[in-house]
Amino acid sequence: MWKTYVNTKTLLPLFLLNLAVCGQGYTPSRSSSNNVPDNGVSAPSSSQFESNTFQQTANKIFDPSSDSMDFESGSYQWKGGTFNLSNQRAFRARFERFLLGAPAPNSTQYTALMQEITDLLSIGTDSSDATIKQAWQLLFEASEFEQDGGNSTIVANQVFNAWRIRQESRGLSLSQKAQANIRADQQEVIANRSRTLRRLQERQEAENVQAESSKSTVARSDSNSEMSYKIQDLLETEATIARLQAQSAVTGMQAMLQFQSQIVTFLMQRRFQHAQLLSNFYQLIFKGGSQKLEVGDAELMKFLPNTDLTFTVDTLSFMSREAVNDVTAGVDAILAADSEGRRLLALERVQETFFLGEHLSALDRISVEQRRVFLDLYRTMLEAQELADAKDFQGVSQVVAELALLADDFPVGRVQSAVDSAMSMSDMAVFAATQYRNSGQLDETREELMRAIEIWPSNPSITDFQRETTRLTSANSKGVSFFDDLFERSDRRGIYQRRMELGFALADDAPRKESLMNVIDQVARLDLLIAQAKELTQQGESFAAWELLEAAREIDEDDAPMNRARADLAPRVAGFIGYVDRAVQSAASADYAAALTSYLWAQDIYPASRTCRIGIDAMSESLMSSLMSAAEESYDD
Amino acid sequence: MRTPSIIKEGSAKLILIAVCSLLLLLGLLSLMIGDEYSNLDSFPASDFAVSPAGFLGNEYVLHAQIDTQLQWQPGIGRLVVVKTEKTGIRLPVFIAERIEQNVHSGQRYEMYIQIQAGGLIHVEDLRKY
Repeated sequence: MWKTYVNTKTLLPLFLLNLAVCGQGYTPSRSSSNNVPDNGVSAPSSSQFESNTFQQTANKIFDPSSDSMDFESGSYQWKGGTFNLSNQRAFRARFERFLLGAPAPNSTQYTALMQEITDLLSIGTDSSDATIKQAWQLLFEASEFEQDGGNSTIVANQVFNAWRIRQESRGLSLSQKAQANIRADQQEVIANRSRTLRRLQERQEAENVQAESSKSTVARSDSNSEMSYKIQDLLETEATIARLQAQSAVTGMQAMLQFQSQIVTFLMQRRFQHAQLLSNFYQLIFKGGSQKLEVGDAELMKFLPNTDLTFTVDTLSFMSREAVNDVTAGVDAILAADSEGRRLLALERVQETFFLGEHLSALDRISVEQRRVFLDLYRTMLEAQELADAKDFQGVSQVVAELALLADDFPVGRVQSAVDSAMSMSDMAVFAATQYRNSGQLDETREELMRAIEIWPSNPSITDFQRETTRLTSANSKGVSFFDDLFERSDRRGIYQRRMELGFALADDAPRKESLMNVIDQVARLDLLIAQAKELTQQGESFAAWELLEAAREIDEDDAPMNRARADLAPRVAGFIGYVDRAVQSAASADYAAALTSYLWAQDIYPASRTCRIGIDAMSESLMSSLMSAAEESYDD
Repeated sequence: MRTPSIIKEGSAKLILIAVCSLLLLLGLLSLMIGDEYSNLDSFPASDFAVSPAGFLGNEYVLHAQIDTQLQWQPGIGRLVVVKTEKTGIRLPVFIAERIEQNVHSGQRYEMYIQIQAGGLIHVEDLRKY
């Protein structure tokens, strides 16, 4: 297309055609910067519009995503919390899979079972070991359901692990107790030995027998060595007790951390029911002092960035319960909106609710039929979005009609209005490009055409523009002889009707170009005068209309449309015409006085007559001239 | 005593007869000489418009009001449009320079006119009325 346009370059200096264009009130508004005269008539220019208006509207209306979803940042906002949304494509795939799927057949039983486990673990019920064990056993039943995804088993494993660790902890406690007993015995032995040694020393000092002293020293030395062995045993026992205490503490902490970590994981994965169950187990297994979260701070701070709360297991339990309740309320809203025909609204809520409660059985309340309708709506909106991105406005209009059938609350009018505006803008740009082409303004033509393409690439007017430009180019070769023929026959109308082709053909022929310009100017003025006369006739101003037709006759007395208009009007102004005709005839035969009299009498009929005013002035001057001549002759005589 | 009175009465009668005769003579002279316009026909404006050539050389009296002045040429005269008294028809007339009278729009004149070459109405004389 562009090639064709560039080929017209040699034909473009056809500024003469601009006159004809201007005569009809058409000229591009930006002609003032060029040599083309600006008649003060502006053609619309698409630069007055924002070309992205439609795009903005389309992006807003055709985006099926909920406002709480931000695919750019990959996040989903929920009650101040931020879930990682992954990317749009992945979410769309999961969402479409949900809409294509059907509710699980045993959803009701699963829901009831999970509720039963939750009830068993609630504070209001008996929190004995037997109850907890009963709840724990039910977890294995729950894990057999497909929708559970085996997560109940993870919960059960965590609980079992905690129990096992607690059991180990009890064993360690027993060992610690035994070691403590040994330590007590050892301490007693050491104390006795020490006491005995002191007594022996005191006795020896009292007897003061120097000779036997060496023998006693040997005996005391033996006693000291034995005690040191006993002390060593005691220290070993102390070390064993310390090791057992440390091991017990580590084991307990390990169990707690594993539990907390799994709760945070469930929450982040939006497995709210399991997070809630695990929280309940935790609260029953671990003592009150262990409720503060020791792990997952970083993850939770990402989730709740604007809080300085100290996270506890209770916090996680509360959040999980809120999410479950929110999903239930969301499904209620979806069903209500759908029943009222507000499917667009329902679709937005479906997305939010699906993302939050993807793993909750509450979504199974949305039937297969409803899911299919939502899928159709979702896919159609995505298609509309793609068409809008491709600026295929005709396609958008068709899809919008389908959307109107799918969702009563779809804003058809708004979209159609935006589509119509965009199409009009493009059409106007093509129109402006046409005018610029006709007036030989190459740069402006290119600019307007590019704007038209940018707004609406598939605009049929652009193709028409191309075709017309090609046709004008091909008319070049035979245009000269054709013009000569018409001009010789004074067929002004014929020339005017083919002015575009002839303009291109005579672009490099200065004399003919000037003649063409004159003819176009004359016919344009003729048309203008005839049109004005018609308007005046309709307003009852017959004499004024006649005056205009008189002016038109001065341009071309053989013009058929003008003569038809005169013939139509003549009966209404017969008297006036009679005097004017007589004046013209008298003037022609140099009877100026008679002509002047006739003009005066015609002026009496239509005082505002321009013809009469001019005729009177002319005849007066002629008369006076003839009188002067006569006076000069008599003076000469 | 009676004689002088008789003589006076006779003289008065003679004087009265002489005055009456003089007045009669003056009346007769006036009729014989006549008003310059009185012998002229009124100008047939409507007929003139149809065929001015048939009126060439004729003299008429025209009662008209000055409508507008079209032309003035020093040494020649002025071309004026007048509106006839009876018909209201507008006509162009030429007032030669020799007629030294100011004419203004709206003034009414009795004009002594003559139709000259080309059908132009020449004003030979005019007077207000």
